[in-house]
Amino acid sequence: MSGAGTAAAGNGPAPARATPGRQVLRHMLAHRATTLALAGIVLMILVALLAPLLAPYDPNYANVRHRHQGPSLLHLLGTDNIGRDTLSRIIYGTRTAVWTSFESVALALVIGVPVGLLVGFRGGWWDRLAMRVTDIFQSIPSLIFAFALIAVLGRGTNQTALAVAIVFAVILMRIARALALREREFLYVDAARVAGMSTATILFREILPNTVGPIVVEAAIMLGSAIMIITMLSFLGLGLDATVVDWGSMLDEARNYQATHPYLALPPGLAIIFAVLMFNFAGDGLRDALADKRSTRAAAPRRRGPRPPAAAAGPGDLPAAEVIAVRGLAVAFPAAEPGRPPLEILSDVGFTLRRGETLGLVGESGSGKSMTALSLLGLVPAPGAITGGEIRFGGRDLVALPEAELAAVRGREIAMIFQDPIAGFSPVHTIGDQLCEPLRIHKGLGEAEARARVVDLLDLVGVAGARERIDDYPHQFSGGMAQRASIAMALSCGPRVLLADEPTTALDVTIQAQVLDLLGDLQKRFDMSVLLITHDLGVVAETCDRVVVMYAGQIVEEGAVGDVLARPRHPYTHALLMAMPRDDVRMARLPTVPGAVPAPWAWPRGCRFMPRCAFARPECGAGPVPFVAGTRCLRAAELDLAVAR
Amino acid sequence: MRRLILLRLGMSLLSLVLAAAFVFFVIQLSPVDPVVLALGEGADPRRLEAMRHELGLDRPYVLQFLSWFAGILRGDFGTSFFTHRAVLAMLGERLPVTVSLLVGGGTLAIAAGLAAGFAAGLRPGGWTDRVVTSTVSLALAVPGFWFALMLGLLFAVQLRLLPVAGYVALADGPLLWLRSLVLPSLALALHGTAVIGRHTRGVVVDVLGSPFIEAIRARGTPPGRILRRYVLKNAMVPVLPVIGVQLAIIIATSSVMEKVFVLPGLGTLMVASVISSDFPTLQGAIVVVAAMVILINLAVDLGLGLLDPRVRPQ
Amino acid sequence: MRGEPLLEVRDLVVAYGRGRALFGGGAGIVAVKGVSFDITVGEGFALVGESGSGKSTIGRAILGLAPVAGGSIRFDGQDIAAFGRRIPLSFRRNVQVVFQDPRSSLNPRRTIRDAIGQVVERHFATSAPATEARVGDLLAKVGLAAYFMHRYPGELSGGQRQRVAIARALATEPRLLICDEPVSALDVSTQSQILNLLADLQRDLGLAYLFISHDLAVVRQVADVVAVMRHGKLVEMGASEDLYRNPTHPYTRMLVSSVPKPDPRGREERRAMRVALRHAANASPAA
Repeated sequence: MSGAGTAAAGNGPAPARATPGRQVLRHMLAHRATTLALAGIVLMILVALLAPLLAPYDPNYANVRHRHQGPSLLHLLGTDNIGRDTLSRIIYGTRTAVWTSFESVALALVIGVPVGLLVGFRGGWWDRLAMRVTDIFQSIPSLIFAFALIAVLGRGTNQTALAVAIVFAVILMRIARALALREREFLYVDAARVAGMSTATILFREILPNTVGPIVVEAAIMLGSAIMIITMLSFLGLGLDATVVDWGSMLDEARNYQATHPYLALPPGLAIIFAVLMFNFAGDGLRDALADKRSTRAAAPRRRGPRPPAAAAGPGDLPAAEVIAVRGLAVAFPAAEPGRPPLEILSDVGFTLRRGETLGLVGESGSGKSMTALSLLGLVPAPGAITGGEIRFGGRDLVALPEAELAAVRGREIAMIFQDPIAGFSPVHTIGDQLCEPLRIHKGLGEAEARARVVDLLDLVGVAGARERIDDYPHQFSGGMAQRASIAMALSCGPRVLLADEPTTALDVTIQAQVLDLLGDLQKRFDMSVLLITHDLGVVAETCDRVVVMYAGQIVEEGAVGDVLARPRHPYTHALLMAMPRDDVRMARLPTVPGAVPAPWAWPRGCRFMPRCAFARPECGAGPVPFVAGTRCLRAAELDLAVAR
Repeated sequence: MRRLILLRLGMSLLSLVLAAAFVFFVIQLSPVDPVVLALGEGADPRRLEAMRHELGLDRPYVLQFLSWFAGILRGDFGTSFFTHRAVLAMLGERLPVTVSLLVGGGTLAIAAGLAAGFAAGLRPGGWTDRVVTSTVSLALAVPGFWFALMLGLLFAVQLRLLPVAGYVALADGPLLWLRSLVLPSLALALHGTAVIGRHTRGVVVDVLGSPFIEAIRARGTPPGRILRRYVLKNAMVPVLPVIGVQLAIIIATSSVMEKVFVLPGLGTLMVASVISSDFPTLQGAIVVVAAMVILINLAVDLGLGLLDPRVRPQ
Repeated sequence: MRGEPLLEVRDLVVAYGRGRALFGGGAGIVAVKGVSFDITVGEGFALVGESGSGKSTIGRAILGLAPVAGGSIRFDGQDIAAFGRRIPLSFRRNVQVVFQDPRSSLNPRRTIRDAIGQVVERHFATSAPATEARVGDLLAKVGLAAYFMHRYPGELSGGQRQRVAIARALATEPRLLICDEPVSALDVSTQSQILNLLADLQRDLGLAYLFISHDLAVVRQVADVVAVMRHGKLVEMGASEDLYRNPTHPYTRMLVSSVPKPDPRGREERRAMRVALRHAANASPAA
């Protein structure tokens, strides 16, 4: 038994856990439409099973004296051209529809899914052969292929179901194959192979459970499609036996009396709509329940939050040395469940960015550092919104600025680069086209001028062969080169401020060093202020003049880099520094920070670092801790947290 | 791009051969003997044998297929078992109707689907989105042929605005041709519109949420320009294949509309040849349909090549 | 002096993308170009390199997950490449793996008990209660309480998931554990917890590690021997202490100098040195 942080890994009672299957059902039932759909399906199955009990008449009993009657007490839905009771025929038609659709989809599942999973997982020749077969189906539409099958199998209920089953089996095979291919790439499959599991075990115990969801969704929707195709076939006269009552042939008969008795087409049509709608809703509901809970929540329209109260001092110019001053910034998202208070993910964020400096904004994932940068540009993703504070930039408050004026600030006065440089470019436009964009919008340059300027900029940031590479697409760039290109674009309009959000996290260490060195050069050359967001205190030490440390949506420390890294004043900064592995000495034991960064809904009321803090006292939890003299710690004055080097 | 075109053309030809072979061999599985069908049950076995030899039906299936397919390449689709006319001539009479329906239904479905999808996807959760999303759900559950019956009832029987049935060739008057196509095209476009609309909505929402749109916003590009220049082109990449599939489905379901509106197209010909076991006609018609679908797929692939540099062979 | 070799890798070549010439005909990519090294019993051996250097491919080849195109991999004297597709369970027992991304390396639809339990059952044919007891022991070894057994991976934090992945690897009582970037997906504060755990396990169980990482600072904390890779080849190998103090190959020197130090003092000098080394490395023929 090793003691490496039993406490760290989480204590407390083990709450009862629901299995994923039960969770999915619960999610499904939480949506009224899905519950109704499931009830509708159960109803159809009951009607199908109990048809002889429910139907008031024999569906084939023709009472010629009662032809073409409208709805009456005797015949609730009226009668057809030879006096058969429409309600009874609809009830027996339900039986046919339910039976044929379940028969064909069940058959298709049994044939298509195992074959698809196997060829997808094994790959090789069988897979290529299977893909050639499905390719053929790309050129022959399902309905037409069903024609050919019926020509061979003959007409009849089971033949039709079989024809539909074969068509669906090919579709399911393709889906199951794609799912198996996707799952095969996950490391858990490699882990199972390394553990010595057999292929059958991997296929049925590891991969199958992960593919059941999407396949069941597909099957539910196929039940609806099956009803649609089978009624279509019998409407065309290719479907079922004449003795079988079904909605499609009822519509075929109704067509003949369309002009004189238009009402006849209504009941079977509505029955089909009802059935298909129920299966589709059930499928959609299941899909949503399987997907992330987030995706089921309807996104609110993009809107800026309630305007925060105006600052007491009113707009005024910043001191000449300050470029951006943030005060009391708060950002909140509406709660996932209605009726709950909104989730504040940034609270009382304040710092200044000075002229010509590089300011590091440091924090672990979930600390709110990226959100802070996005707030500066008014780009908080919906449905989140800025709920308080001010962002002074020159003589303006960016929080209060209208969208059109903000757009003129973005890219021209404040530019931004992101973590994943390739994903930051539109994949279907050339690098050159995209780099020209800010120049043309903000500077009004013509195409030729803009291109010439872009070539210069790419040269400047060290993209070799700029004149040729300008017509390349983003996927033809390496990560490092793409980040250089995005830096070039950010610089193109001569911004006063550059926001760099983890610009080197996705890059290799040697490339990271090159890009950071480049950023440093350019910052001096263009006299820019840079806000460098990173999780790496090493990056901060190498590049920044001052640093701001964030934890759980708050700023916990601010100061000059030398001071903060040598003598941190907040226990979190200290803990972070100590936990960093060093490459100059091997330590018997790395200092650790117990626990993990809490999620926004679990933030403590008092000091947010308190549960993980080695120096915590009861009074730390009493209430929000103010930010005083560069730190947010009640015990800052008494603690000595110097870091030995 | 030239390499892409040549590559795709080659693959299209291969697809056509495979599709034709597949149809041919599937239909050979039929228990119906065409010779017995022609001469009647209980005909003289020697006459049956003679006819079988005359038609080449006693040769191995592979040879039969090769000679049939070689005939197709020469424009000889064989002779109908039922009407005893050249299949090519029968297909030629029917093709214009099917193509007209494809053009009518396809244009409507693409235009309405894209418009609805973009309108909904640009403001997810807004009222346009809610209207579009629920209309799409309903439309997907409405059988096209029933919708066609209802349209006919309303516009032709009740309002008498449009013809109930029948086809007027383009040569007999463009306006009449158009009038005969309005209702079938509307009915045909129903599902295609819904599917394209639903897919486009999802794609637009995804594109708007992608990191590069965030980056473009951070550069101060105006929203209208983001939409026209970036969202449109990026969204079309995944939507284009869906449009291709919907056009193929429109070709298939036009057989049902042909029945409702009494239009002499390939669909009713296929249905009739299934019922009468007229295999040469059925095979020929399916090959023609497959060729149309393969052309559509080719156009989609080339369109993708134009839109997306990543699919172009390096 | 190093001890008895547990794993001997000789002139290993790994190539991808062959055998699909019929469609499209992509040329094969040679990811590993003749690499040799030994790992001795209980040793911490690290492969360091940047993305695309082939370091992960070597790990996958040893695990039988990547095709060996040349050379040999011997574990306890047995050649792994000779097994082909069917790798015997006895070998599987000895060599286990912890991957980078614990989100992907645990099946989201199976409880922790199932994930670890099936490995126990496969290798030791235990009864259900015995399996459960064993899973509990393994979880305790990695610092997790027994009730985690009934959780799904989605309910755990990144660090907890990585602990589960380690427990699963320990289930077969391996002698060599391949750790492919085991902490690079984790936050700094969680990273050190996992590194300490790995160090404890090595000491308590006598495990040998093949540690694959791009992060020199992390490697420094776990490795006795470090091998530096670039473009599918080893450029330098040596005792960790020596290699960090006196890197000899220009690429290694550039690599070491590129690691940001959490101390602003002397950063201008470091930077000047970096630029000089960069030029040297680019000029070096072996690079």
